[in-house]
Amino acid sequence: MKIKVDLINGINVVALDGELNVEDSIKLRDSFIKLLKAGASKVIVDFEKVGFVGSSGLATLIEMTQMLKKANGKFNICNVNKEIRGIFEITKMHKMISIHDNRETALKELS
Amino acid sequence: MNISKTIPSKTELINELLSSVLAKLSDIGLDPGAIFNIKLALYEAMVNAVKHGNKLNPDLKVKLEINIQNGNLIMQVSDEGTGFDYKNIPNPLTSKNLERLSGRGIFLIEKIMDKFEFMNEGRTIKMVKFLNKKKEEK
Repeated sequence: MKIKVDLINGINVVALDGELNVEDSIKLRDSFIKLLKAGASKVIVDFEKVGFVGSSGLATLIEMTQMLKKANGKFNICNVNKEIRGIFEITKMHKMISIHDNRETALKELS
Repeated sequence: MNISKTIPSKTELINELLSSVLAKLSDIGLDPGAIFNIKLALYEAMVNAVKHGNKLNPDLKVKLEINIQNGNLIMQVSDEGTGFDYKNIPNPLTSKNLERLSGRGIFLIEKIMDKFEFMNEGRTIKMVKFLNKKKEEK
């Protein structure tokens, strides 16, 4: 998985490209912890180029939410495809994480 | 169709295995949602077998078997571990468990497959996807 981070108006936008499986969930977690250590307090994860998320990926997203909450930060995700959104709804992830249809509304929420 | 594959207990081998298996399933004419669900169910079952069943011991194997019977896609994943108490799996949607970082794999399988059951003291999970019929009322 490729992970690209852009800083847009003080918000870290983490764009993923690939599949969020066991190995890549660890990569995402590591990248996120680096961002936190560097002082990031607002993070968006963009799923536009993600076609698959396993339960390990769901766990990583929950952990990211929890870590940012502890750091008084804000977190959301955007551009989730229909199939992955279905998995989020089954597992009630949408009750824990703010999910946006596109990057613009995700940025607006954290601005 | 009959697929039978065995891998050592390494999570990094699962993606490659599933890619080859899903390529073989592409001829069945499933819609993208069904393919996603089959991939997710197989992935979760394989990860559970490798991590929890075989405790990541590469000397222990995980076996995947797939066939079609009476219009149903039958998928079985078996590990060589000690089994587990599959009758007492916590519900990940309770307020106590909702934010836990584990415990969603089997729940997902239950929700996205048409039928599933454990056999051999929890060492084998059998999952069924109806190819032509609607999901049975539970």
